[in-house]
Amino acid sequence: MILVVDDQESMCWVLSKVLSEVGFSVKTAGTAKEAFSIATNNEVTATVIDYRLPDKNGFDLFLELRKQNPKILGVLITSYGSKELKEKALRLGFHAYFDKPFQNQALIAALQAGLKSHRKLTPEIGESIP
Amino acid sequence: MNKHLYKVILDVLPHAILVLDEGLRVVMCNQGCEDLLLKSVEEITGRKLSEVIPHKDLQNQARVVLQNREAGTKLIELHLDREKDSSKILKATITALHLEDMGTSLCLITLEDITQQVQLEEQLVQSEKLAGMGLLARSIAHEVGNPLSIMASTLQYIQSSLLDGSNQNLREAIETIMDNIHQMHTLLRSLSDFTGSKRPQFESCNLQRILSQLLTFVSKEAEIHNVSIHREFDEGIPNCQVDHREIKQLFLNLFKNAIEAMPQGGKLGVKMHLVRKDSPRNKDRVLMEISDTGIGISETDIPYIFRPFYSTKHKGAGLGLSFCRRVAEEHGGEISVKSQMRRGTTFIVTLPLRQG
Repeated sequence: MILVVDDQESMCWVLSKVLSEVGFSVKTAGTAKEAFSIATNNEVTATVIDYRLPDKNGFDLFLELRKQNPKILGVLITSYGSKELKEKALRLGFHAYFDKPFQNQALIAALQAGLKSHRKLTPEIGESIP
Repeated sequence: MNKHLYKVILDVLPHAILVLDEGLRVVMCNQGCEDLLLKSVEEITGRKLSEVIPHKDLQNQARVVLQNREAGTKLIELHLDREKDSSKILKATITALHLEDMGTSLCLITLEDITQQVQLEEQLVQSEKLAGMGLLARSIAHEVGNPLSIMASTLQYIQSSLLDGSNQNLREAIETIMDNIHQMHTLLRSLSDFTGSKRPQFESCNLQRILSQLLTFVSKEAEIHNVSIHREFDEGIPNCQVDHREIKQLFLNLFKNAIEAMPQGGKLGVKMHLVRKDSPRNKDRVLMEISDTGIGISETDIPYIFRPFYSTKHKGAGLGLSFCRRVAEEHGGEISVKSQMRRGTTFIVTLPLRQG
């Protein structure tokens, strides 16, 4: 499941449509608090987080989510982009970073590629390893 | 002996001191006059004030204090054009000395060189204006850019949902809207670049010096509002790579907010500490705490105070703290806040210690 966290309701709406279309199951949250309560069930494999959230910044939320689920994949989206922010995001372990506006296809591709390599690195029990 | 001692004391004072008789002729002056007026004590003594400092207002005020015992002390600011050197901005304090036993009055003029201070104030006002414009442009770019981004993603979604072979006109219509959204984004970006909201220009700066200068700058305002300033700086904090214009503005905003938050007076605390690397995430950094003992910020306002156009002040545009956050982040740092109603507020700014 992908968790989309953005305080702009319409951004959540459209990303949920876009990602469901390609087969992901999606949940959305408008605040870090809401995101955290959704993520407790551990079904969340990846999260798309807007950097600016009303109650926390995207970095802190991601680090907290990762404490709970170390395998979670993170993608940061932001309107306040800068080279420094991008470097910091990648250093903190985000898989990808996008300045708004971005190509939906690029976001989908980043999530698919990230989850694929994640699966390779952390095979589920019973999965055959070639 | 006493006379000699007085002269020595007068000469070591950092200000220029002139004593005039009732005819505005210099009867004595100190060493400070030589440095400021570029003339020797001998050349100045015995001359008329108008020959030494050709400034009408200064002469008028000297006359006023000599003639009118109720006039008290006068303060004026004057520009001094010097022959061999650049001009100076001086603060003149003019007082009458009524010597009853000698049946005469003298006029004491103290001149203080405030050129640097005035220049610093002008720089700050200028950078405040520039930063304000840049911030406004950037905030507009963000506030308009956000819905545009949503529109772009939504249109892409509609486009991908159209079945192959569906109405070609509809596809073209979507592409036209997409092109226009793209154009508006480019326009917004150039608007924010044009108004000087560029990437920070990093250079090696002494943060202690910057903060001390700013505290001197706000000390007058603090005094008026009955606010005392308490500073606590760690010794030996190395120079740090920052954009000094933006960093000055960041702290000036925080200092001004703190003073405004204490209409009944209070304490403005400024701390600066060096925090050494304690985890892979947290490298060496400089931590600065700006605290006040003012009205505090309500719990419901706290999540929104760093947003552009959000203000709890009657006159505020809601851009100050949003600027602070942008600057801190562009420097790879952070800003956070702790507050308690009627107890006060503390802003914590952390900047990575980038040297070189």
